[in-house]
Amino acid sequence: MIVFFGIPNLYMLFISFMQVGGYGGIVYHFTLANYHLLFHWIEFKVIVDSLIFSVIVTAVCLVVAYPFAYIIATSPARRKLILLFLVIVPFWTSSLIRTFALMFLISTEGFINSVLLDFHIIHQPLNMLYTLGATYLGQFYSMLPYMILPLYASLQGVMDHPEYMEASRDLGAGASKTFWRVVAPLTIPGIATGSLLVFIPTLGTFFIPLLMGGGGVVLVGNFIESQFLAADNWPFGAAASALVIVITLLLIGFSSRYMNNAFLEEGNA
Amino acid sequence: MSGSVMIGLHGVTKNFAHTQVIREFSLDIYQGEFVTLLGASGSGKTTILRMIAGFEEVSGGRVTIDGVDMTGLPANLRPVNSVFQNYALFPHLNVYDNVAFGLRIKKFPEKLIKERVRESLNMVGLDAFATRRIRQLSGGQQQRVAIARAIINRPKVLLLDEPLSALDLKLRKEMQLELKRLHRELGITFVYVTHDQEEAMSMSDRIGVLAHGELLQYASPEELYANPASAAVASFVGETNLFDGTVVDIVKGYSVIQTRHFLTKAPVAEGHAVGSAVVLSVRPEAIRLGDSVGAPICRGIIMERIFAGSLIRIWVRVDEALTIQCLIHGTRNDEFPIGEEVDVIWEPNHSLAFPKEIKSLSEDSQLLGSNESAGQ
Ligand SMILES: Nc1ncnc2c1ncn2[C@@H]1O[C@H](COP(=O)(O)OP(=O)(O)OP(=O)(O)O)[C@@H](O)[C@H]1O
Ligand SMILES: [Mg+2]
Repeated sequence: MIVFFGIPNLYMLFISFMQVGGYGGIVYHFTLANYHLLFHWIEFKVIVDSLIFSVIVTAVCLVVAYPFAYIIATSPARRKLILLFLVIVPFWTSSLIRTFALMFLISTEGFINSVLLDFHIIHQPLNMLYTLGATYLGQFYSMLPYMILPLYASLQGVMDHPEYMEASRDLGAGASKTFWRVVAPLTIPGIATGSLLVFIPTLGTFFIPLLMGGGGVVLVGNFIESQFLAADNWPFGAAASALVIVITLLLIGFSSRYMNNAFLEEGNA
Repeated sequence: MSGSVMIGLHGVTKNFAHTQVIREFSLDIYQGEFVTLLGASGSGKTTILRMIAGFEEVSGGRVTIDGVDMTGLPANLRPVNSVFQNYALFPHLNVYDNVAFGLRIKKFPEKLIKERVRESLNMVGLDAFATRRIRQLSGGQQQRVAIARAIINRPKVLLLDEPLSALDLKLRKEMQLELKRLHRELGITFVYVTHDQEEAMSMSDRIGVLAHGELLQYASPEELYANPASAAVASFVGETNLFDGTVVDIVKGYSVIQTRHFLTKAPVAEGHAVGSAVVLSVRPEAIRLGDSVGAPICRGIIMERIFAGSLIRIWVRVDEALTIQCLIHGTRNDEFPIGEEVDVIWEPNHSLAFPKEIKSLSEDSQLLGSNESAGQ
């Protein structure tokens, strides 16, 4: 762990404090200029945009995944197995390939447009691909299973202890109050884990905005990538990465307080 | 019993899949009574409680609470509250919020809730624990919180499913007294479930004895002890010696009974006829040893004795198939030494003979004590 994750990150942290050479490359000379630039320059907007993008994708995933996870957790054994299988299938194909499939579906000559045209529902193909909306869709689609699985695990834990829901009913709470006051709070660990699993990759995403957004959508992942590859400004790219990593670590630290699943296990004294 | 019927079970049945676990169960519980359902594990006690609480629908028959038919009414609309066996305290809430839960659902003003929570916690002696997390409480304290949470709603009926089974003996005795006190102070109806006959005997106004989803007998502890309706009840309520036998004659109000080891008499009861199989029940304390005042019923050798203050518990071995348990008054520890041969005697009037059930729980040699100390 330390070798594989620590050394590259430390090296990146190191070069983020170095200067960029006149023709790219790294000049080993300490400076804070990269960070200074990051906070004062227009590039900071990219980070804000990315944060907003990630928050929205995470929120939509949560809202869509929760009912899914609930249905899975409350299904009889056989159906549960099938549904879980369907959630896991996407893990077996590269998300790049799944993104291409999605592009095919919504492109101008794609499946959806041809069906709509054939049935004369529309007369001009809809322009869906290469928009911000498509980027959202792509990111949401590739992240959804990462939200469903931890939510399912958490909800299954609650379903395995029906006495909490029964106690709530016993004390006068109907189905919806029982959900909001007992089930939902008991699944906070799943909500925290799922949100983190969606938020972090979304914040660093670069090929989905590239493919689905068609270059019109630039998020921090694209920005970092372009600094490293196109602009050949490694120190600036490294500084942007370092900032993303700091944000991520803060989030992990914050949510780990809610990820403690132990409270389901006690209570059966 | 006077007063009004608080809970009525009318021919209630319950099927899970295709097995019937409760059969034609009928029982009335009066307002303010402390009623215990007593039965072995799997006899259906929890199922009945859950049908009263509304967690299970009845498959047949009716449940009424305070005269109102509960059929189809969900648990949250029934005027009862439960204390669960594993407490089921909400782990995400502290003690105060757990206890306040019911009133918050009913949208009481916070000020009133605060008063009532304090009052409830006070009743169970936990005033100082309001801000504790559940996991920071001992089992006994969790138990008290569960009770406080249930009584804060002032239900008409409190349902308790083996609430003390997770506690150690000393704490259990303490909590038994506390529950009795709460029952007196609150004046509400308690329906209590246990498989511990001592607990049932010491706490209840009336006890319903269950076996295999059927009500064997429903009576006061004294009545159950003195007049058990069957050998199964006799063995479940208090300790007893059971002997299989056959009625060989009936004379002057007594059935003459032949068992494998002796000939004796018992008062004639329903189902006795010459030739019918019976189970004879003799309580250990009805037995006398060694003083040949009457004709001895059998003879045996003292195998084991436990001196307990004013009582001596003695096991007399008649032969390899039969050992009889006796409880003798005596203050001297040198009476009845092990190995001594003694006469075993009891008054016919202190024995009961039940018609043998098809699935009798007894065997000639079997000594059924309280279910926890069956055998020795
Ligand atoms: N949900 C269920 N599905 C199928 N069978 C059940 C269900 N609940 C209970 N039973 C069966 O019903 C019977 C009575 O169970 P119940 O829990 O009422 O017994 P109990 O008297 O409370 O036992 P214990 O003292 O062990 O708690 C048992 O044979 C049990 O296996
Ligand atoms: Mg039970």
